[in-house]
This record gives sequence, structure tokens and C-alpha cells, in this order.
Amino acid sequence: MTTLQLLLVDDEQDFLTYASRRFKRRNVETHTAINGPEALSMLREQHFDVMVLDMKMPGMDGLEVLEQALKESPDTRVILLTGHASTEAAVRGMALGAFEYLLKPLQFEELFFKVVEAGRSAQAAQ
Amino acid sequence: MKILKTIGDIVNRRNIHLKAQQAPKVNAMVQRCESFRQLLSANHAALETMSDMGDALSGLRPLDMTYVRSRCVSAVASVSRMVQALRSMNPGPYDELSPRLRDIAESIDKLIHATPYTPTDGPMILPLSEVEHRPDLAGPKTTTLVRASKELGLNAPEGFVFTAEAYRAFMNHGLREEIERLCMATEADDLAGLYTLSARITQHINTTPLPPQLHKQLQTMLENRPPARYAVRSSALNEDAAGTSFAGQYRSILNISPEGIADAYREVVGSAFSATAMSYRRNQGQRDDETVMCVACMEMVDAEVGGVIYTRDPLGQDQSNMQIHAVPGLPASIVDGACTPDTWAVDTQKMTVTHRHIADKQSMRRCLKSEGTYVELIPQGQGKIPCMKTSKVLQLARIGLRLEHFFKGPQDIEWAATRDKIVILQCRPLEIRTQGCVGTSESVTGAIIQGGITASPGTAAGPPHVVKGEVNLLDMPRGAVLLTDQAHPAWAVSLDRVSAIVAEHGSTAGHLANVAREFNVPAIFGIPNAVSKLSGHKMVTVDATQCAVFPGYRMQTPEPEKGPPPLMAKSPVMRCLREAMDHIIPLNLTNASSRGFCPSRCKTLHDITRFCHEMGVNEMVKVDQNLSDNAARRLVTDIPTRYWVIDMGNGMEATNQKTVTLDQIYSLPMLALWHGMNAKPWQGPPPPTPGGFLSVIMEASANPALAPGAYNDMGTRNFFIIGPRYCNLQSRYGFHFSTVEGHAGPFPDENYAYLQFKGGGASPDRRKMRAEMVRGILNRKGFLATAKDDAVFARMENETAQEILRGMMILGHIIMHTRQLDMDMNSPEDVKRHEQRLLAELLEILAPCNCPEPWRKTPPPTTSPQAPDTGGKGQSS
Repeated sequence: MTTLQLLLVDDEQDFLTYASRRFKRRNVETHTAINGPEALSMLREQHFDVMVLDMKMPGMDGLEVLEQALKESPDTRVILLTGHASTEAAVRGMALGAFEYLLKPLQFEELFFKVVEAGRSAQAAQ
Repeated sequence: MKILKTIGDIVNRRNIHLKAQQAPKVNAMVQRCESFRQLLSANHAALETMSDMGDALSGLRPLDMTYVRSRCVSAVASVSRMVQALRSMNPGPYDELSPRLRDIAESIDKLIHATPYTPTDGPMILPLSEVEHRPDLAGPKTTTLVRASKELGLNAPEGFVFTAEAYRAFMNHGLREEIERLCMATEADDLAGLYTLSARITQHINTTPLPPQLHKQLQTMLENRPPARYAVRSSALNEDAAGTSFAGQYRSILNISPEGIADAYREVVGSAFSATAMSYRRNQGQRDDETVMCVACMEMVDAEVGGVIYTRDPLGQDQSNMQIHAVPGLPASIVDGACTPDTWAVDTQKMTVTHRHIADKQSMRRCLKSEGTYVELIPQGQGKIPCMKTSKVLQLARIGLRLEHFFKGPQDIEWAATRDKIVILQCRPLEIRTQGCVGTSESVTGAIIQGGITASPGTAAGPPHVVKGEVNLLDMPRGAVLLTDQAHPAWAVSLDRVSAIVAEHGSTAGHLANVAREFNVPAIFGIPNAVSKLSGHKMVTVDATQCAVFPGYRMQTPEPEKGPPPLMAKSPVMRCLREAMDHIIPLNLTNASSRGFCPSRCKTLHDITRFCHEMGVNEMVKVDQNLSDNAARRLVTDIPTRYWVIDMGNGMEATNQKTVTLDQIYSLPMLALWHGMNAKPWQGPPPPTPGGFLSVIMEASANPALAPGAYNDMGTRNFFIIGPRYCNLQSRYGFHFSTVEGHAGPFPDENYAYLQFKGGGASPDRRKMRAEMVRGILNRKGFLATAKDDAVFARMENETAQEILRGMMILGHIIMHTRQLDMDMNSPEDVKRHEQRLLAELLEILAPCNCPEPWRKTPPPTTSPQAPDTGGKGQSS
């Protein structure tokens, strides 16, 4: 139970491709979803330690996904990733139970570090 | 993965452990430990962000709103994490923190985002004739021109303007948010990033339709005007403000048909987000979101000759003469630096030409019949003919005088002449640079080349770097001498990183020259064959004042430190940062034992951080009352210590005692750390020196947090949080705070030792010296260390357990023996003396003979084969 299960959710395929490649190279079991509903259905089927979630996606927005995701899978740690710098949204996201609120652009190392930290917290909670 | 693995191990072991023990309570305890660890990590992140913002406030580096926004949001997010972590340790009492945090976040949000625009039904399109007194609607550049023509009876083009209202309506069409998002999401620290960002934004603008209302007003305006071609020009609200002339940063698009106006409008609006304009704003501390671009559409003047009048010498040398620059065709080829113009100096008292320079002009810009412009080559031989007669020169000089008189100051005037009239295209205040004396052009010895004109005075040296296109800017080293054929305005994007500019063509009247003067970058323009003559040199010295370039490095006086752009300190971005930080940095909660130490008194993010930290520690201490096998046990050596130990599982012998002795500790990193902390007795604080002691008193009176009895009092308990291979120590000694963390297991890639160290009671400069000294020592001892103000961050990674344990010993010694040394940091000699002493002590501690076994214990037999508790070192013994 030490391999980290990661779900990346973003409407930018480029980001998904790039980030999942790098996570996989570091032995993180990485899955991707291109929108909220897809992410939620994956959460129902499988356990994830960490979900990295884009805030702004067409259709279902990040905060909505966050709320439902934590209902489905309370032990999953959710890292919100956004290009829109709103402190108010940060507070709301954190209050809804997000583990961390990160701003794009983000160096991969930083994201990786946060994911590992979130994973540690998730696995400790199980 | 190391952290995960550790936790995995700990969790495994704990799970097994639990079955034998009272599961729920221990489980709750470990949960609490985990929450506390989250709290500490978020605390660390929050303080780091705040310290970085403090740094930025010193104004020593250019800032933009993206920076301010991202830091604010990071700080809020980290503090939110602390609040969540604290609440998960004990939900009830801290509920009140959330609304406080929300309020603070809301106040910050208001500052960092432009006020949302509400439509006012004001006119979006206005005829030029109606904007004379409305710089707020049409931009000062346009209204100035309209005033000049009305009040002085000068010719200026007819036309209309897209008002500030039009811009706001256009931006409100979803553009504002999208631009902000793109700015946040694109890494634009370097030029390549900036170009990418600019391309994304302008592409977005170019494809956004005009709002219906604006489109309608534009159509009505065009239907009511005679058919014409237009020059579509920027007229931003902040353009031409004294000292921040955005000369040439924004686009003008020439000879546009009525059908092309909407596209040209978008393009000019987009030029507010060109790489050049954005880097210019960034260097000046202007806010992107407060830029308002009005756009004037002026009937196109198909000039036979055109140019620029400087009513004074912009370099402040030749006080009595006016400068008139002219090129055949449209004046655009002067301002974009493509062509070296003819210049006349006119004595305005006597109204005579005192000096003239006729350039060999190779090309000119003309209007196409359909739309747009083209470059026409001038047949050889004809380029040396003056492009206008003396009578016209004097006519221009008289216009210049009238404008200077009317606007009460030197002016920079763009003009165009047809066969029968002179039309003023633009008129703005001219900034005179008096600083930096321009010498005579007497010949100098040893120059590679000499000639051209001083576009911006001064001397600087650097490696020459040839720039033919923007792509050449990307690999230009910082401090290079930009060597180019044309003094193109687009090169301005690199002004914050070049030391000087040498261009074969261009004039003092060009945009690049304007901006070079503003940025104090020496520049020589119009110096023939410069590229071929200089490009072979490794290093050249440009003396722009004498118009000469020398081989090698020849600065007579050391280069003056280039300070921040002068406007940064008072710039809008700085102001915004300062205002936002008022909600972040000030500390109102100082005394943890006072009644005021409660959520409702938290006014800033820093307050919340302090509160959460203090309460988090309290929650940890409370734990032991809930558990029969005490979670936090006091460490007892010969005497009870000020240290408590919290076990996350198998870090120490499980007993029912409230205390623990060293031989009950299994955690190797903790034992190593402890060994380092106590190998040498502390000699107490250094004897006070007058300066150092005084500085402590000064600090204490300036900072209530340092007053006796306040937060972080000497009496605070310090906590070790441990596992068999893991140790975290949060400690405070007086005003000195440190966190040490380490993991030492059999796999190097999981191992690390980490130190964060901050504080001191002496003055900031002394604390800084100490931080710098600690950084130096740790670097020499194999850590990656950085120092920032009075804080040190150091880490060692990817090492054997043995190395990590040695690292923990070093850190132990450092945190104990650098306490209060800041008081004794009076001079570099003091630093050196203490550094040498500490290094000598470390050598002694680490020497094999002094590094015996006592703390190398063999852990107890494990209850599970899956969870061997031996660290790498333990196994070998």
C-alpha cells in the first residue's frame, strides 16, 4: 500500500499528458480524467489517494467536483489547481475540504512534492 | 516517495501495534499527530510566502500583479490549511477562525483585482472634435492633439475615438478574466515565456468580437463620415504620463479602410499586451489590469515628408536649439528606427538653422492604394538629397515654439507634411535628461569605432550580442551590449537586461532612444558598420557620451549599482502589494497568555498563523491526558528537560510513565540530534557588547512579540515527534525558532535531514549576519543551504543513514550553539571568529573517537516481520 494512487483532472489534455508522464516516471500510479463527471465515476470504481483537480472546467466546475468527490471518497486528498488567483476561492475550496490550493504555473517538482505530502496524509488516514 | 514510504512503514507498524493496544485512542492520537504535522508544514509555507513578500517590498526587483496575486493566494491557502489542520485536531473551539479568514481574504481580493466594471451608458465612440476636454474618455495623447489644433489653429487630422468606455465594455466581454487567467497560468519569467504569454493574450483579443453596442456605435459613426483611410493609434489613459512615456510600446496601424477598423482596434488594444509593453509595465510597476486603452482613428495623411520635432535637446546639452528630424514619406520610419533621418538644429531666438545633418536615406514608408503601407527603396544617389527645404524647417520650428509655449514645456511632436500643409499627428511632453554629461565629439584614442549620435548617455561594458530579430533576444546574456542594425522599438523589451545599445540606424527621436533614456541604458545610434566591426569582440565598452566603442573592459569608475527603476517604489503594483500586506503581515496577537489571544482578535493572516501554531502545540500537549500510554512524555536525563517526546509508533519504549529516558528512545535520528545538541556544553550567551546589546533593546522595544512574557517565551515546551527512523523537533530558545527534521533509513533516496532556522533578538543586520554564517557552515558540511534575512533553510538528501545521522548531529550542535550569537555579530571579524569556532567544534564532535555507540541502540524485537525497525546504521551494529 505504498504506491501512490493519483488522479489528475484537467480539461487541458496537454497538461494531463505531460504531468501523468512525469508522475509515472516517479512511480506514482497515475490516472487522468478530462472533466468532472469522468473523475467522479473513476472515484466510484477505484480508490485514489490524491486527486489533482483543475478549478475551471467547462460543465462541472472544480468546487462542485470537490464537494461530490469528498462525499464519494472522504479519504482522498484533493489538491486544487487553478489559473485564477482568488483568495476568496482559496478559502472556499479549503473550507470544502481541499487539501491544498495551488496556482498555475507550477513547477513540476512543487506539484510532485505536494502530491506526495497529500498522499502521506491520505495513507495515514486509512 | 521517501516520505510516503516512511509513513507507510509507520502505518503498518502502528496497525499491528494497535491490535495489541487500545486502538481508538492511539488512532486518534496518530491522527492528531498527522494533523499537527500538516499544521506545521502549512505554517512553514505561510511564513515563507510572507517573508518573500517582505523581500519584494524592498523594491529591489521588478514586480507585476501576477506576483502580488499569486503570493496573496498562496498565503491565504497556506493559512487556510493551518486552520483546517487545527480544526481537525479539535473542531469546536476554533470555528470562529473561518469567518475571520474569509473576511481577510475578501479584503485582499478587493485589492488585487480591478474593480469590476459596471456599464455607465457613456459614449463608446466619439468624434475627435468632442473630446477636447475629456482625457478620461479619449486618453491624454488624443485630447492634447485636439486642443492644440483648436486653440492654436494648427492642422490635425479629423476622426473619431474608441473611448475608455468602449475598452471597458470590450474587456468586460469575458476578456479581463481570461487575460488574468492566462497571466497566472503562463510562466513568463524570461523573455521566451513573455512572448508566449503575449501571443496567447493577443490571439485571444484578436478573436473576441466587439460587444454589440460598440459595434453598432462604430457602424453609425462610419456611416456618417466621408470615405477615408485611417491611422488607428493608441491613446491609453496612462500613456505619456510624465516619466512613464510608453513611447512606442503600443501600436499604431496606418492607412486602414473603414471595414478594417474593428480589426485594427483589436490589434491596438492587443498591443497593450505586447511583450514589450508588458515588460515595460513590469519594470515600472504598472498594473496590467488598470491599463485602459483608448484608440483614436485619425484620417490618414499621405505624407511627402514627415518627422519629429524635439523643441529642446532631450539630452539637455544644447539649450538654445530645437531639433527637427525628417524623412521622406511617412514619419513612421523615424519612430520605428528603420531609417536615419535628416536633422536640423534651429536657433529659435534668431530663427536660423545652426546645424544640419543630411543622412543617406535608403528607404521610405508610403501608403498603399488599397490599405496599409509599404517600404519603397530610394534610388542610389538620391538618398543624400535633403528631404525638405530650409523654409519648411523654419515653418516647423515656429509650430514647435507655439506648442511649447502653449503647453508650457518642451514638446515631442510628430508631424507629416503634404504638398500644401503641415499636419500635427501627435504632441506630448518631452523629458529632458540632464543627468550624465554629453562630452564633445573630439576624437578619442583606442576606439574600435567612433561616430553616430548619443541616443542615451553613459558608459557601460559587456559582451556584444547581435540582434536581428526577436529570436536573438532570447539567448542574449544578461549584461550584453545589444548590437543591431535598426533601433527597433521592440528591442525595448530587453532594456532591463542589456548594459548598452549600439545601432547602425536610428535617431534620438526614435522610441527606443526614449525608453533607453528612461532606463538609463547608454545607447549610440546611427553608427555605420557597427555590427560587423564589433561582433567579433568578446567584450566592448560603450561610451555613449563620447559616441565611441572601445575594445575590452574600460570602465574608469566602477559601474554604479543599477537600482530598481525609480518609479517602482511608488508604483501602483507596489502600492497594491503594500495594501495587501497590511492584511497579511502585521502581528496583533503577541501575548499568548493574554485574554486577547483569541480568534476574534485575528486581524491579519499572520495573527491567524500565530494563533493556529500556538493552539496546535496546546492540542498536542493536551493529548497525554487522553491516553493511558502517554503520547507526550517528558524527556528526563539527569534532570527533567524542557523537551517532550511524542511517539508516532515504535519510536520509544511503550510504558505507562509520563516521562521517558534516553535509553527508552529507539529513534536513531532523535538520538543523533540529541547527541549533537549536548555534545558540547553551551557556554551561555556571548558577553554583551555595547552595540549588540543596544540592538537587542532596540529590537525588543520595537517588537512587542519580543517583550518578556510574550508569545514564544523562554518557558515554552519543545516537542520531538518521532518514529524509529524519523524525528522532528520544533524548538524555541528565546527569540530563536528552529525546526529540524530527519529521516534515516536503509534506502538513501528516502533519507533527508532538514533545518529551518529563524529569528534572533538583535538588530536585523546582526540576525542576517548570523543566518549567513550558519548557511556558510552548513554548506561546507554538505547541506544545501540558503539564507534569507534572518532565516536559514538547509537540507541534505539522498544520503546513507550514517550521513544523515551525522547531519542531525551537526544540526543539533548548530541550533544549540548559535543561539544569541546574533548579539555578537558586530563585524565581519566576529562572524569569522564564531564560524571558525563552530567548525572546530563540529570537527571534534564528528571525530570517530567522539562519536561512540551509546545512542546506537538496537530496537526492540518487532511484532511483525513486515516492519523491521532497524535503520541502516542500527543493522550494521
